[in-house]
Amino acid sequence: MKVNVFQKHRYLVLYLPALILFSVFFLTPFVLMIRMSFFIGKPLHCYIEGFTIENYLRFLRDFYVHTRLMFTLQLSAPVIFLTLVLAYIMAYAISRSSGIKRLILICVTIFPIWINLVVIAFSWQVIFARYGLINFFLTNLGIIDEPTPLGYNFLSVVIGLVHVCLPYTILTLLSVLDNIDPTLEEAAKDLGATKFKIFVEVTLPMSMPGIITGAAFCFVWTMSSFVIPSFLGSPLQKTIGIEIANQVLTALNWPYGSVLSIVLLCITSSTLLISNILRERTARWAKQ
Amino acid sequence: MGKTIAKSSIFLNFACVLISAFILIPVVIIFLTSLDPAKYIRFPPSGFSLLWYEYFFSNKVWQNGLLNSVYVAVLNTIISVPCGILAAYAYRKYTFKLKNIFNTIMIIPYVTPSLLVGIALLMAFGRTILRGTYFIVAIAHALWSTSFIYILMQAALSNYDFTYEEAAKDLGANLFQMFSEVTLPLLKSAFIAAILFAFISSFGEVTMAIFLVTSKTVTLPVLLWTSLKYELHPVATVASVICIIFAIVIFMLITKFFGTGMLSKIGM
Amino acid sequence: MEIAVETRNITKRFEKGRVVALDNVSIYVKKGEIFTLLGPSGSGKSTLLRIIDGLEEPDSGDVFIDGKCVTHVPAHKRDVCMVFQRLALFPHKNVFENVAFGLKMHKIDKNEIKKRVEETLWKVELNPEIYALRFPHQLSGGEMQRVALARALVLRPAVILFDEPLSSLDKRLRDKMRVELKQILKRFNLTAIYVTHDQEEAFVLSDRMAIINKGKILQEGTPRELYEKPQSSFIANFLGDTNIFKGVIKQMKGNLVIIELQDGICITANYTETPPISRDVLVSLKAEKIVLSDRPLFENHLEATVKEAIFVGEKIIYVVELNKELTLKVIEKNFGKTWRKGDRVLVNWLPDDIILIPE
Ligand SMILES: Nc1ncnc2c1ncn2[C@@H]1O[C@H](COP(=O)(O)OP(=O)(O)O)[C@@H](O)[C@H]1O
Ligand SMILES: [Mg+2]
Repeated sequence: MKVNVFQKHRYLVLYLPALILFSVFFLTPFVLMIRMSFFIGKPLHCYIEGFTIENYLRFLRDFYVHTRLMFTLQLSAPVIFLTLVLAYIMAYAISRSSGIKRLILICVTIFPIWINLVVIAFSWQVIFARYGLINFFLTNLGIIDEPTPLGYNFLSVVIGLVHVCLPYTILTLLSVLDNIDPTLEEAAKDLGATKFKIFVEVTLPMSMPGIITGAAFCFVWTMSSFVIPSFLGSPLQKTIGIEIANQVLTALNWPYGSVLSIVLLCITSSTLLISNILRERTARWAKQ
Repeated sequence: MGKTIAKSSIFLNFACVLISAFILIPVVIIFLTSLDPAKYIRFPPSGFSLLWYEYFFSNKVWQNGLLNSVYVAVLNTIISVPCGILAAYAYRKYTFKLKNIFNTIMIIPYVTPSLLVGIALLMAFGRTILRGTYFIVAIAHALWSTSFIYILMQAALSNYDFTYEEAAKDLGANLFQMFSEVTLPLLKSAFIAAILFAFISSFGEVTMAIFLVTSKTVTLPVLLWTSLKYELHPVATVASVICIIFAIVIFMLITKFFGTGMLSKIGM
Repeated sequence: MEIAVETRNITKRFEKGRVVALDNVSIYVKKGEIFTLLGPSGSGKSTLLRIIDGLEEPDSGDVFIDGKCVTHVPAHKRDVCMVFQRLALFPHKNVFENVAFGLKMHKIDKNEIKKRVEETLWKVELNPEIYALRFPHQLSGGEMQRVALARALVLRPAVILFDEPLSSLDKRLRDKMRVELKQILKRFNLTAIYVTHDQEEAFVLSDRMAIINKGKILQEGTPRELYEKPQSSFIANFLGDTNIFKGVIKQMKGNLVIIELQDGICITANYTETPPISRDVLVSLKAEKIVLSDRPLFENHLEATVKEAIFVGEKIIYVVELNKELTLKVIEKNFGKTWRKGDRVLVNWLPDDIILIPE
């Protein structure tokens, strides 16, 4: 019987290793996490088995967590905006260039993807530090007299996150921009559109699917960020991610950590879902 | 009109240079400071020496971190490359009813925040025999890698003509012969790229690893994380440079084998 | 006679001068005329259109529209519109927005835009009530074609440029659309330059046409002139199925020339204009002007053997052999007596149908 199924559906055999991997080590842990969220949470004890909805109620009451959530949402706005602007410019430039220039720009874009987050955060720390790059320039140019530490604030967290989000967003936008038929822009020009009008009427609306995906990506990344803000921010810049890690690693309250994780998971998944629907909507013309 | 074109492309080029600088400067800075013999990290560097490199390579803890990272990355490659490639192959070759659902399932780990995956794995296996093993760290990375390789291979396979395989079968090749004589040679560079991608993405992964390693299996990025949490020690710059060098080498290999065309498929 | 568009000595190179796309091209198009540019793929047709449209600048030479030199005027300020090869309808805009685009760019009043768009959609036989809100992906090939035409028409340009717009349609629809296109263009007395690689299309549409190859204009004139009096073997070959031979002039008496194709085989031809200059000539004979028979029909007839008889529906293509080296292609209607492989036949033609190509 089983052999039959596999012979009839060959693809199943090929998908099987991945599906086993995902169901044992991805699906199961998340299901267990849901169960964990109903255990009794006791700080420094990881968890005590049982059943309670107290963790969820605590989340509803927990003013501190609410402020962290709000803060992370606030953080995501400038990150999304800045990343999209920079990424769009870069992607546009790449899509308009060819040969060696295009190669170099793509390499520059992609290369940071594999540099780990700690290194990126650390290097920005060095740049913002009291005796770091920026202070060096500012003092030498006589703009300020005494070096002052510039890091550990809202701006440094934003910059670090933008840096991390850029490569993926550029690539997403690039794939959309590369697929715009250049004769559409020529047609617009032919019909009397200026360069600016061509951009506003044709290029920009046609890259909307990429913009939506890119924005969703930046949002998800910021909401779940943990390494970057814990290096580049002060305690004031604690994101919800840091708080979750804190519950799990330091406070050792796994059930409450689970609840927060589930909340975050809901936020990120629904964002991706909505962005997907929106993208399909805006790109309904892309399907033949 | 000619003038405005020139002007706007100058603006575009200028913006491009600035953004590239923004992307690259942190890497350059770290590299420069790693050559500074001073005890405190500062810019500009006070001198030039390989002092901290010697320190790094004579220190058991850091050495261990580097080795652990390599172990985990290799293990991850062994797990995720077959999983991802086979699934992508099935996606391109067969048509079936649940195709869209399978496809979505395969991509979910790619878009799920690592932080949450790390925590879920910690809670599920933190009290089992798998706790803190290389295996569980590699598995965590393999979830993401498999998804990623799946996406990448889908793109690579979109130019692959399955009729070659049918022709081989038609000429009497068995499954193994077909694979070794047709599939492998035609897709060699894609497979190599998949291996390199899997290795490097695991080598630099930190968010999940933080939750899963013990002091015995701690990887280089996590070691960097713990050491930097407490002080900005100059040896951290060396560890960072090592991470960067790994990234550069693998990156160059990928561009050599694969060209940048495929690289741009990494976007969502 | 008013000239709508003229190009003077246009030269254009690509790839740092390595590819010569256009070589000293001069054409003119009269007001109200449909002018076709016929040439094989890669001959520089699109490049010439793009230069007229302003999407490309010539390396040298000038473009005149309505008598004004517009060589350095950007595309969006020229009074010409293009219907693109792949139509280039904006996929994210509906039919109304697509057609209105040009008017919107020219900052025309909203009500006026609505009026003109609807009027134009009627012109191309699309009912605005049905089609205005549809998106390009919801249209059939023919409907997309009409929208693309409307988008250009609505601006009332001095000339409309067509870059093989029908090439993506299937044959049946293409035949229908080209007749309709001609009717629309003629009904509203529009000036058009139409680019194509399809000789049939060129013949159906053109008032005047030019043949272009490798960036050079080879000949221009009415379709009839080009068909009957090709000035090079390329054109003779390109327009219809043609038999071309080398020959030597043996004798000239009055309007008649006797040409020896090969030892023994002689044919008679008429020439009406200037007599041939050299003794060596190229002779062209259209495949459909030859009649096969068992008895001599005309003065010009030769004996031959049928080598192939290929049935292609409404006609039959014969390959007949005069001797070892001379074969002729003959196209006959699938009507009356037909021949089979191996049959001995006579090939007949009128002296008028032999064309001497000065080469
Ligand atoms: N942008 C370009 N860059 C380089 N070569 C080009 C470009 N546009 C056209 N060409 C070359 O010019 C020649 C004429 O092209 P084109 O005008 O498109 O021919 P047609 O439309 O008759 O098929 C071709 O050899 C083509 O390769
Ligand atoms: Mg063309």
